[in-house]
Amino acid sequence: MDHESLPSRTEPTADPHGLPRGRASARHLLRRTAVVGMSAAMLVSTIGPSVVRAQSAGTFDPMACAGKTVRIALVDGERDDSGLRDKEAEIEAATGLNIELTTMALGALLESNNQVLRAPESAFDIVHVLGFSVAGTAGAGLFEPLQPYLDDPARTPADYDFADFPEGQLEYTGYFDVDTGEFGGDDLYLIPGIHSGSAILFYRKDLLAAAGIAVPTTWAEYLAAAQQLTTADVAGSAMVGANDVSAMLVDWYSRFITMGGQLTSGSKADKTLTTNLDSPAAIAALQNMIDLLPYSPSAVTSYGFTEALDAFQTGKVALWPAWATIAGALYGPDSPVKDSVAVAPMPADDGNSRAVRGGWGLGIPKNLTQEQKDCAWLLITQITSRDFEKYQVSTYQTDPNRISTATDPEIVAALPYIPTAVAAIEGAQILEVANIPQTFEIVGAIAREINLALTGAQDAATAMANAQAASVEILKKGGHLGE
Amino acid sequence: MAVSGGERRRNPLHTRRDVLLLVAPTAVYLLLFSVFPLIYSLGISFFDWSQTTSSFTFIGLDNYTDLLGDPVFWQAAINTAVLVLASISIQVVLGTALALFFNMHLRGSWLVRGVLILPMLLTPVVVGLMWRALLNPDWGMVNFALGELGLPRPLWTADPKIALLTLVLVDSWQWTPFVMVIVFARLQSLPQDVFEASSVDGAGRRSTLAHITLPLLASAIVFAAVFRAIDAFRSFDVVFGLTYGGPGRLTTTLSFYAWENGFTFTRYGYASALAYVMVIVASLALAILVRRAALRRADAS
Repeated sequence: MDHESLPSRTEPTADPHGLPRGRASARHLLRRTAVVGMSAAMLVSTIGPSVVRAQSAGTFDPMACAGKTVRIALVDGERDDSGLRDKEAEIEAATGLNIELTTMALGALLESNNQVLRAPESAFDIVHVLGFSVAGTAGAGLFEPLQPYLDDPARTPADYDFADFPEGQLEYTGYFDVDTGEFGGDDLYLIPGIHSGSAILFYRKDLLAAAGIAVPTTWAEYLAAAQQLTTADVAGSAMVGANDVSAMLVDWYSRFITMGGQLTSGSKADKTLTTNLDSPAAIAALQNMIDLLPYSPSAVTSYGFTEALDAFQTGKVALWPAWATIAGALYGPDSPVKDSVAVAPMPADDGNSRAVRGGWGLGIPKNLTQEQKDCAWLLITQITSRDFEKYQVSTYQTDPNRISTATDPEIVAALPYIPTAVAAIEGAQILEVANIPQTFEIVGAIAREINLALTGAQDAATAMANAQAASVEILKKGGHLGE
Repeated sequence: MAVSGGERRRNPLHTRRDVLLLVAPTAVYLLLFSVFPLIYSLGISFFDWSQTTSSFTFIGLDNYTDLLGDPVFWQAAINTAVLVLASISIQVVLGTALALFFNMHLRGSWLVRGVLILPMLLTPVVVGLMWRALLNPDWGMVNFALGELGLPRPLWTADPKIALLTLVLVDSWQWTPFVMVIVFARLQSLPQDVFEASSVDGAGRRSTLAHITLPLLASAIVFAAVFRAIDAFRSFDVVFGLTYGGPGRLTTTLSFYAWENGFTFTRYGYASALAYVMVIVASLALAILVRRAALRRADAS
């Protein structure tokens, strides 16, 4: 879906590429960058870090909500709240808003969102929505459509620059078609924020150079490299091997889709949607993970994301496919591996490196008063603005949502992993079951079977057969697959 | 001082209205926060919740019949049963032994006793997270100590063979002191003349323990065991903090599964049905336990 051809969008840019859903080409990005990036750089350098600017013409009034309180819930532990905490006083001074920020761990936030969005009145004016939960929330019509706010010059700063958000991310954490239950469509419910992301390969360039190994580009090469890099002190590879959704979303799925796998077939519209988890690609993807166990830390089956990060950061691991947004921690001044870490696209057996699309959106619950919604929108425009995002990304190294940030020369110079991370985001694939409310149930079921296979309790074929049976049952219960 | 019937009738606290006024706050509280949620959740258990339309559809007993065919439910039921039986066995034996030990009133035992009861003051989810860190295979203190001693370093929460045992051990670490406190309190109140008589009759320590002390402690031990069994049956927090139900589903308890269905998968009807099955099972088990304990007391007397 080409969002920008729609007449109601702000600042439309012609783009007749006919790109696949949820994908935006690098060429498209570069072309836009030429226009947008230069003006962004000029704008940033001349205006400085000021967070709020009233438009020079029109009726936008940044003080329209002066004295009002806006309650915002953000995920904890991903540094998405850090920029807002720094800028809170500045935004409050510029808008007169009183910002109440609450952060919650991912699980708690998902629970909270499920409840506040369906309550008679939401406890938050802005909620943070993980891409995998968009179908269950935006798809249920629980968010305020944002296009009228975006189109209204009285409510949106003139320099907000909506066209600066990449198409792929807007399709995932922006537009949703409630009628068909599919990503994209014409209705904007979320603004991408605070970070986007996909998965990339982190590796130790010093260890690879010492062993004379090239960065692996296929999963077979990855396995061979891991074997060669394993020593008494360093494991060749790390992964999320615990009972954790990242085991499925990052480690298994990245292998699966580049080994020719297709997660689903059929259609939920005619109740034929099913998973292909017992396919050869599904089994091969898990087998590749099992084959890596001898070259992984001995405790890898208890590794969640944090444990895997610890192992890589403390120099005990040579190769680690992981969410790109953790790059900041690895490149940061306190990181023991800051001088030896490097990034590359995920290996891909089909030559087309890609991984699952991640990222977040910010939405306004429908169950609020109009005044609350207006004030919530005002805050959203501040914390997803170009200036704010540049501050957030440069200070906290979260993955950018805006093209101008991704291509900012200062940021690219300071954060050398950004081009690889942005390319991964550009090419990322929306999880095929992300468009149904049972996403986490299916992902969790697959992750559990992967975890059990890694512990040696079952082989790859049995694990994927079990995952298939569980997923089919979930799809049937969800009404997406007939009996 | 005796109160005449006339004074009693005049006492304002004895009018029907005053009694109702005094009982009303508790009754309202119970109705609002206990009875209503129970009835409401029972109602929900007969419905299917659609996340897309935010609406309930009546499906009768389908949630209950689905439960019976759900392998994860049975896995969780077995895990819960193992957790309850193993934890309670360890806690009763160890808690009683500790109580008897501290009843010897050795010098400084009050201090050790005080330290031992600290774990039960902690929130279970904190206990789970704390032990998760202590048992971390890479940098946890437990495996570090085992390594220094030249012993194997198990994958406490990741090895399918020992993950449930780890959960049992952590639960026992936290709640053995509870059993100890209950039994110790009962020990303090036992009639000393019985022990003096047994001593005069020449009973040895073992004989006194087996035939006098333990029978006299039986009511306290049964109370502690029943209380702990109910608590262990609904274990959630420690599972959430320590293993998150894994590896696979090997430490998923019924409460954890109910929570997962209700709050992660938003299958409110299914979660309510599961919770009601738990209530029924717990009530039946409790009734049987109490009945058997009452029969034993009757036999003993």
